[in-house]
Amino acid sequence: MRHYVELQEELAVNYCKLAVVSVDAPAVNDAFRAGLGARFPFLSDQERKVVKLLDMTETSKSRGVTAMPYTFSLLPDLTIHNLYCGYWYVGRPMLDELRRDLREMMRKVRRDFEGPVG
Amino acid sequence: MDSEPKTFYARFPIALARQKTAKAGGVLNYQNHRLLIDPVNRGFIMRSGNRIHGDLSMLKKTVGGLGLSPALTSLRDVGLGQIEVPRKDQRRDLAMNQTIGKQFPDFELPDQDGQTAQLSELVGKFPFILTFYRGYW
Repeated sequence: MRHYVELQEELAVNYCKLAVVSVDAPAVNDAFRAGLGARFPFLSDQERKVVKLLDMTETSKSRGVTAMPYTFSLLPDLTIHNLYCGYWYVGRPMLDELRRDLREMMRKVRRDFEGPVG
Repeated sequence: MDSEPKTFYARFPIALARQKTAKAGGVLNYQNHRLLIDPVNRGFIMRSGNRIHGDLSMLKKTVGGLGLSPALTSLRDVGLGQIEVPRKDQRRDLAMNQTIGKQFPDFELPDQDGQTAQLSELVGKFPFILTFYRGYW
């Protein structure tokens, strides 16, 4: 999560935004967020409604139904541009992969991506 | 009787089986199929490859307990014979392929202050990164 904190300044310059979701309670998220120094929102899916809706859960004997890490790159109309399944750590996106996604999405949504439109 | 599989890929977790059984009275909806589960002798629904099988003797007991016909000769009698279900990893690959280019649900969840936040309002007019991370599982 610390690399997202590193990214937040860069995102702000580009007017892009970031949010993270966990199954922890809002108070837990609040403490975690403060500890990290993050300014982006931490959402709480304590009831696991969204992760179940998106089939992003796994079931284990010891823990029951647990949420799996996923990252989505979304266009402003919520179209999914790219996604990463982070079940394995190496499946999680690096900052450079997110930068590439953001570049591609910016190119799609901003007519002035290549500079001012004359 | 149909030949039953000798080895099983996975056993249905007992904790989940008990929880679901209490709610559903012995009948569990799983992957759009109605499956019967045994609350006492561990979940008997098992998956072998991409097929779901059950232990016929346990199935008979459970079905009897539910007041259904005990004269079962095959899992097919209760619609359980050889249900084709993609393995979890196959389903995930399928889901990933299908979701790129599709619409993400515009959900509402409480933020760190407990205030309800709607995704579309957070996104605004620029690209957006949304990450589901492991908290306390």
